[in-house]
This record gives sequence, structure tokens and C-alpha cells, in this order.
Amino acid sequence: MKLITHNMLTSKCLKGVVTGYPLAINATYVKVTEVGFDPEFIGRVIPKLDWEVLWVAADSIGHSEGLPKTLEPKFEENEEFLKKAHRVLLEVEVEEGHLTCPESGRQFPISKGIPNMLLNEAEVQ
Amino acid sequence: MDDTESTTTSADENTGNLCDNPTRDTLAEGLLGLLKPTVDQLDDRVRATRISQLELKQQIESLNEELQKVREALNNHPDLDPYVKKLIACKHKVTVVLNVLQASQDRLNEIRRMISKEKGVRIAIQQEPAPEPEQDALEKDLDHLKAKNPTFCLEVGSGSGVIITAFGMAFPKTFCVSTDINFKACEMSKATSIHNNVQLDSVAMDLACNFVNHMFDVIIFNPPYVVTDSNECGASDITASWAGGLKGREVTDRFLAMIPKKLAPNGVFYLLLIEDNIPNEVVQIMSRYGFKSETVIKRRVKNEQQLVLKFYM
Repeated sequence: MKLITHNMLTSKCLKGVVTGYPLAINATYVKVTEVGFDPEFIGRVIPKLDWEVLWVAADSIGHSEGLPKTLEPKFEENEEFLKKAHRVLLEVEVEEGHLTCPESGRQFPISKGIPNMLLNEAEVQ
Repeated sequence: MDDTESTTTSADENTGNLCDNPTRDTLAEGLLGLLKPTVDQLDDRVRATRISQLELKQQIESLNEELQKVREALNNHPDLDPYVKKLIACKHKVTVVLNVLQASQDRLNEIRRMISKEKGVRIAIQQEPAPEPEQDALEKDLDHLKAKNPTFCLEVGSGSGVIITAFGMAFPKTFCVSTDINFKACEMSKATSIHNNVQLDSVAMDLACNFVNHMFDVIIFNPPYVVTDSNECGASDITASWAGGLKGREVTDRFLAMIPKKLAPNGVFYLLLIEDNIPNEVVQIMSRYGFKSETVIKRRVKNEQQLVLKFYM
């Protein structure tokens, strides 16, 4: 699971959970693979994401170094920044660990890089 | 005196004529007759005893022979040692062979398991003859999509992952996400994308329930559209890839209701259906949510009349 995907995941379909966002990450194995850098794509993706959530996620798995906590204006022109963002968005992947619902504490295992968000019938709203 | 003489005389007679004394003969005969059966009996017994002793002797002799043999055998026993050793070695070999066979059996079972898994996936692909037409449909619509420069694309129920991977290849500047209710399908989708150098994240979930709203510029759904009993629909095993329940639409209709929330502004939703699913009803449902629709492609695949519908605002 890349952090770009984590930025879109919620556990709000759990019974009694209102927002279920953001999910906390507990990583036991983090993988970093090189992915071709495309500044245009990164500049286009960032406004669609919740930057603060991304920063906290990156920090929780030990990859927030040099990453600003808040977005600066005209970030899309700062290639240095875009490269760092590219790294945490696409190159860092949580392979093993779990996600935790911030409201219910329900844990969702991540194995082989795939978060398992499946719920049983009793858990669904 | 007479008496004494006579007694003497008679004693003399007795001792003098032992041979020709008829009285004595008779007496002896009587005694003999009296003793004879006993003597005969004794004789017989002695004979029998002798015979049995003879037999006993023979028995003892044969026993002795046997014992001799046993002793010989006992004396020979060190000769057995190498055979015993060989037997033990054989036993070890058999154990080793058994272990090897057991290991082979285990591996065979593993292979069989993998084959059946692979078969399951193949069946899933075969029963979703969608890839071809859908890929075609997407290709046909390529220019329209390219102009939109989509950032995020989601495929729900990606199964083997061929569709989303093909999409990712055609749109390298789009980040692709896939979901499937079956974890193994998620693994498969991921493997397919990696194999084709496509950036894809796969998440196991029901439809798109766990995504925040208005994220995806493109959503693709190749639903389980086969008309089945309602109770057949709703599992997460291989039946989930085809069992569509009533009108083959139970899963589709559930997802249609999510589309307005999951699609980004200006997003496009591609849906594969067959005629049995009554596509007009789907078009009506979507128009109630405010979506326009278009048939991208219509085609006969095997015995199915398939069509890909496109929905947009």
C-alpha cells in the first residue's frame, strides 16, 4: 500500500463510525522501490489529497524527513519538494502491518502490500 | 515214636523224592498257576517299560540332535550379524525413501492446490469475457478519456487485474487502484500489474466502500452479471466473480447507488452488462442520480450479448 492510497482509505462503513479517517498506520515492513518521477503528475495529485494526513502517515512509518508539515504556496514549482512528495506518495510502500480505525480501534491487516478492509456483516452500517 | 518215625519218614520222603512227588508237582503247578498271571503281567510291564525306555532313548537322541542343531545354530549366530546390519540399513533406506515420497506428495499437493487456484482464476477470467470488449470499449473511448487527463482510476472487482492493468498501460499518468472482495484476486491483480510495469495499489474490500468521496476520475466495473438465485450471490469466493442474483443485477445496483459519491466531479463510470441485466433499467436508475449515459460498445461474445455503458454528468 502506497501512502497515496492510504490517503483515500476510510473505515466509515463500520457500524457507529462517523468519519473513520485518517486510519493510523502500524507498519512492520516498509518497502521503498524506485518509481519514475513525473513532476506534472505529482503537482496534479497533491491538491486532491489531504496533505496533513499524508505527512502524519509518512511520519508514522519514519519517512517524513525533509517533508514540510504544511503545503507552501506554489509548491508545484518547487522540484526539490515535488521529488520528496513523489517519494512518500509512490515509492514508499507498507508491505506488512495494519491500519487502525481512529474511532472504533478496529484493525485492518496489511499483508503482501494489500490492506484487507473486508468486514463481516455484523460490522457493517 | 511211630509218629516221630512217620514224620521223619515223611520228611525223608519229602526231601528224598523231590522229583517224582505228585503232590508237590500239583502244589507247584498250583502255585505257578497262581503266580503266572502276575509274572506275566510283570513281564508285560517290564517289556512295555523297556519299549517305552527305548522310545524315550530315541526321543532323547532326536532331542539331542535338535539341541545339537540349536547349538550349532547358536554357534552360527555371529554370521547373522551382517544380515541384520543389512536389514537395518534397508530399513533406514526405506525410511528415507518414505520421507522423500512424503515430501514429494506434499509438493504435489501444493502444486495441485496452486493449479486449482490458477484454474479458479482462469475460470474467473473466462467467466468474465469482459476484458476483450471492455478493453475495446476503453480504447474506443480513449481520446475522450485522454482529454480528461484522469488522476485516479478505480476498478471494482478487478479479479485477475487484466482490465486495470491494460488501463494503466494506456494511461501511464493515472494512478490506478483496484478492489476485490477476494483477497487472492487482489494478489493476482497486483501481480498482473507488476508483471506489466503498471503502478497499481490493490485493496481488499466490498465494492468501493472504504474510499473517501469524490476521488476517482474513472471507475470501471465488470460486475458479476450472471442471473442466479439471490442466495447464490454475496459470497466472497469464486462465485462472487459471476453470481449476480436477481436479473444478474444485485451487486451492480448496490454499486450504482455509490457512484454519485465515489466519482470525482466530471468523472466517468464504465459498466459492463449483458442484455439479461435489462440495461435500460440501469440507464433509468443512473439518470435519476443525474447521469447521462452512452453505449460505448455492443457485442456478441459466445452466447452473451454484452454491452459497455458509460455514465457521466
